[in-house]
Amino acid sequence: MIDPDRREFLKAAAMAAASSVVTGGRRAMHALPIVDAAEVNNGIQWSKAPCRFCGTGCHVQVGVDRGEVVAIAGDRHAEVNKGLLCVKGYHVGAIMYGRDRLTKPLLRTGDAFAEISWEQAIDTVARRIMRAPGNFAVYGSGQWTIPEGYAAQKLLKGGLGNNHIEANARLCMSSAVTGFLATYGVDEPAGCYDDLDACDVLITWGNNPAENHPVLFSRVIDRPAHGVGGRAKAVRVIDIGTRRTRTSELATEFLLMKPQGDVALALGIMHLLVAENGLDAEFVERHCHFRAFQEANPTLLGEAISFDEFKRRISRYTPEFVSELSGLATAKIRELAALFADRELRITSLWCMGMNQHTLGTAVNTLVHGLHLLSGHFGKPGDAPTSLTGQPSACGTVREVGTLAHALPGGRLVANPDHRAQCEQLWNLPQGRIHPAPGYDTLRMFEQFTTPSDGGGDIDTLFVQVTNPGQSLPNLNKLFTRKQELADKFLIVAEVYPTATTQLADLILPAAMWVEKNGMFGNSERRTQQWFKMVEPPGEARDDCWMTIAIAHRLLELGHPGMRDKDGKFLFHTTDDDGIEVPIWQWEHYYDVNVDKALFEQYRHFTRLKHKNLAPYDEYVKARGLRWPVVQQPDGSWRETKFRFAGSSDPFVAQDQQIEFYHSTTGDGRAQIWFHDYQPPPEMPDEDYPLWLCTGRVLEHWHTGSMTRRVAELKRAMPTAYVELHPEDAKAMNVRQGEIVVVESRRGATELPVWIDGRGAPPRGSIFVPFFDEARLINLVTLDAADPFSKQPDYKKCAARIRRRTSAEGTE
Amino acid sequence: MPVSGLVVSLSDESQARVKTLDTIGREPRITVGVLEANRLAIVLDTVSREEDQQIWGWLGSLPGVLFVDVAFVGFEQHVDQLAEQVGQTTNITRCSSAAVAREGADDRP
Repeated sequence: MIDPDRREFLKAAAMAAASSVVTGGRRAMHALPIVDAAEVNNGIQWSKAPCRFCGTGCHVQVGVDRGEVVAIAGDRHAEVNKGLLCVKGYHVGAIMYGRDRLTKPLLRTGDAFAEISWEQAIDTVARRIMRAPGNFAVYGSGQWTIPEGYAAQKLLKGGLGNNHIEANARLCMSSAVTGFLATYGVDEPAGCYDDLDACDVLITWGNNPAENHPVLFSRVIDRPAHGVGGRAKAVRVIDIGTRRTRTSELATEFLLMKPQGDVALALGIMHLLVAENGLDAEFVERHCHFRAFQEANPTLLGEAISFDEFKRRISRYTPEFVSELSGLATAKIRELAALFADRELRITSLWCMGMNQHTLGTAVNTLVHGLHLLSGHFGKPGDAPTSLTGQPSACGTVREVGTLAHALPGGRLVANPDHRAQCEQLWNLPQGRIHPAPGYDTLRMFEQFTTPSDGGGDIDTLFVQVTNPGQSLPNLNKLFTRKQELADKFLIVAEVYPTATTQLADLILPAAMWVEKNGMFGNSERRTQQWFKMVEPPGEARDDCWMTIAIAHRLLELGHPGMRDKDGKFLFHTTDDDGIEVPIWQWEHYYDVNVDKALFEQYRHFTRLKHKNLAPYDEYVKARGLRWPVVQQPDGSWRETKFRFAGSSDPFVAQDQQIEFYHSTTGDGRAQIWFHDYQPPPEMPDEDYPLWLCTGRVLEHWHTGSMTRRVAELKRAMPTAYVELHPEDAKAMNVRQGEIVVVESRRGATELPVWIDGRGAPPRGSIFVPFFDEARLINLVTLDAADPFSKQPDYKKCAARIRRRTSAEGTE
Repeated sequence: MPVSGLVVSLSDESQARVKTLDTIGREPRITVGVLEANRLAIVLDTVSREEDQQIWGWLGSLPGVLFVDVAFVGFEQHVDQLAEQVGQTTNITRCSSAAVAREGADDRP
């Protein structure tokens, strides 16, 4: 029970926070210094942190009392969320307090787990690595903080000379990466969230931000009320998708397309822009080249083609042909082309998994960039092609630190000898330490791990941190479940709660989470954010970064030569202010220094190699994030960049240029407009499996639900996954609302309750299932076909069927 | 015993808006604050987190309400109480899919 005085205080604080959001901070009714409060208020200590969940990067104020998080406030000083939070952010403080937190290292002994000491656990991991360092792999995610990802990257590539490190981001946004690289020669969006305040038209391409990035979508829909940006008027939102969602309900217009129709639509709009003089000839002439993907040699450089050749190839994508491929009316295709042809409008395209989890993911990403370039809707506030990310540091950690099998920090590539040499120099490693061959991408990594060693499966020890592949990988029967039959494979999982992945683990390491440790994230708009540890983790749970460093030091003790640099120092040698080494591999000394700061300052040197410059750590302590490139001004201050490649904003654009793509793959400051033919999806409904299956997220749960399902309110609001079905299909199948049915494909099956006329509305012949529910693994059903460039699988379309349960399975 | 500071975004439609403002104002667990440019600040004071969630849902379903966003939440409760509400298993070997399925299968949709 909260005492009455404290309750009144909380009410006043709540009103102050809400009022300051409504008034933009101008006249809060109860002017308590809540969101400014670094100082103590009624016993509560307030500190800033980014939210733990999606890639939006909202800032929260975290209230701590007596060692527990007791309150959360939206941070009105944060530009991203301006004081607001979504329903998940509202409950973010509760995710740490589920009763089944993992608190002890656990080693599998038969069907049970035995508690072991941390010393034994770290020794077990190190000895597994020592057996065959090249057969070890690490799998993390965009939930790694930047220093955590950097440490894992350095251990693997710089220490073990092993490139088998991947991240869940491969499953989320690697097609966005290849799209940016192919078009601009450098990853990540040119624009930022300010585009959402300034655009006249927002096109959501297979994207449902109302559920998956709700604070951002609220910023768009509610723009007149915010009075933000130079164009504080209602925005026209055009939602293009394969089913109606909450975004469709709030959009100005919803365009229902066939699966894979986005590729055809982008080609069709391009064709009309070219054929009917809608293109921005001056922009194209000054800033662009044309390229085409080669079927025989699929690389991100492709082949150069002339404008005439581009025009010739695209000419077949007439409105009629595109209508046939996409299911959209020719009038709508023309209407969209007319919007792009209108130079007075500001148009922002927004996408996330719909365009990325796609066997033509790279193609459709480049085509949408091409649309903006061809029509000149680029480089002005509100004119931007922008991808979002699903994880809080998919950009900051995975894309920027480069925790992928082919990448090195700072946009460097494993396969490039000069890049390897740069990294070896910055890490002070002997020449040749970094292995020249890229490691396995995610799907290949798990294939190798779940293939018997004597059958060629050469990954035998896998260390999973901060993610849950036992639920999130596609085609789980092929890529994960087989592990349980393989005695020679060893799965190590660092986790906060039991998950589908820990169920098959051989060793479980209890991890600290969110404000139980120091951290840094990088959000979808290139914004790097920092926070400090605020509460102690439960039991013996420890930081993921510490685990990596402790393993490295144990390897050093066991004699692995890669754990020393070329001067003989430990790979993670860290000193105090007096220059004396601190034994950070010992948990009791880990917080004697700020390890995050030490690693970040080291990592920061890499960021300058591709103009992704980051400021010193202490600048992020002061700020609610800064968008890179961040450069120092003559007065010593640090300035962030809102719009890359635009002379008005980006410090690396030559002074006489309005637009300059300074990482152009053609080396001449130009971006590439790509052509790629439409191709049908690799698996389509047929007589046996007549339905399209699409998977995704819901508002209440984040990713695999391992955190949000521990929050009572969120679990109650959405307790279980379901299969969303068109009423006519339900009628034809003779299934009723709430009935448990079997959803199956050629790969596997799961049981789900039917939801007719639910939150979303799939068209006839199509079903939707969210993937948050550990008890109803829809990824037993999904397909592992992937984009040839990005290696990202398609979770949005495969062939499935629904059947009623047999009596043996249990009918109702 | 949650206390929440919420921001309710209202549509421009004047009839629905007036009615909705009136409805919200008559709810005793809600303290109404400033209204400016379609956005209303309110404080929600409830006796349980379940009730808090119910009112949240009720607010979202009112005609003319576009969004209910959060600016502040105080969820001060003892950790044991929180854990009880969550009702997760503590034994890792028991946390099977089947166990979780039983927990949630009967109340949706």
